[in-house]
Amino acid sequence: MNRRSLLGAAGAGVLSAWASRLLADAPAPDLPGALRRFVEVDWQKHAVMVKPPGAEPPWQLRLEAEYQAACAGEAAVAPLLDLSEHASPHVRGFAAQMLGVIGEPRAQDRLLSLLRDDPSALARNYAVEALSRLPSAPEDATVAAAIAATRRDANGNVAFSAQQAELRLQKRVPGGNALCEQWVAGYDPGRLGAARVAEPAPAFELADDRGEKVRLAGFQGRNPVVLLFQLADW
Amino acid sequence: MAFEAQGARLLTVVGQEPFRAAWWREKLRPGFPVLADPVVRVQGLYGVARQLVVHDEWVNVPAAFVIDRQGVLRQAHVGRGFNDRVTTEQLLDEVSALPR
Repeated sequence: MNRRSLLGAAGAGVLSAWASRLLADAPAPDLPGALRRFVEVDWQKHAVMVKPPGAEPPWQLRLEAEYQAACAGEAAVAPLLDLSEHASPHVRGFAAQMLGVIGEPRAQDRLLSLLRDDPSALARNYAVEALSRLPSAPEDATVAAAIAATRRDANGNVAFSAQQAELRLQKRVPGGNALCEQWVAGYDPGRLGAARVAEPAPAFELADDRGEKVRLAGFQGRNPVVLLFQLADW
Repeated sequence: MAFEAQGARLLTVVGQEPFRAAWWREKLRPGFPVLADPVVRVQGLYGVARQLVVHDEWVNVPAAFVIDRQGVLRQAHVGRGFNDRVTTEQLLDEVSALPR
């Protein structure tokens, strides 16, 4: 399958996912608004490992921008390529992330140059992951060489991401297009932060590490559940 | 495992694809499923998604939620920082205190 037909197939999938979301009363498409709201935030101010009291990052704006970019698919490519040259490394990293999620072949050169030249480890980190998500990546020697070279990046986090990117290529994990459809199908802005003590825990179904579906409702009436959003040596 | 003895089940969620959830499970061997939430939908529902920069990436805040047999959320521990995590002992106490 050539690049054009891959993109076409992805586009059709996103369109049908959009159509089903519209029927389900999903938020209206508003990519320009979502990108504007995202870019206006001073993300560097919030880029911390410990949040100061009363200083919540507006994380909902990032999720909204991710969702709108995923939904827009090919229409998001030009604005994301622009944002990949933004002054803020957080915006460049976001643009790289979403170009990978959309699986945009035209982003390859831009992602390669971010990986080679960007002074920000955060931007390089998102660029290497995005490169490994492009549909062309498993067959492309230039991409493979760039990812392999990044395993020696001066920043250990970027080098680790390069290792994971190589694993994605080796395992032939479906590229960004598959993620894009999940984004379109699964996001509900009205339910962000919906978990409340003394109310029913928000329902979900996710695949485990073996690909088996796990439903929270499957435990109801039988087991308490401790739901962890952290990895630790238990 | 002590949680199992209480009839409870542990689940952990990572904001990554299944192949990376499998990598973490292999590395850490937690003894319970590692669920893959690559588009951070469930992290969003529980209000923990993309709030800290750790290892040059926007990640979730560490958090733990205790849900009773009826599916009602009973305890919510949402950390402010990367190492701000509830202890295993406290979670066990909270599970033990749930009505049978």
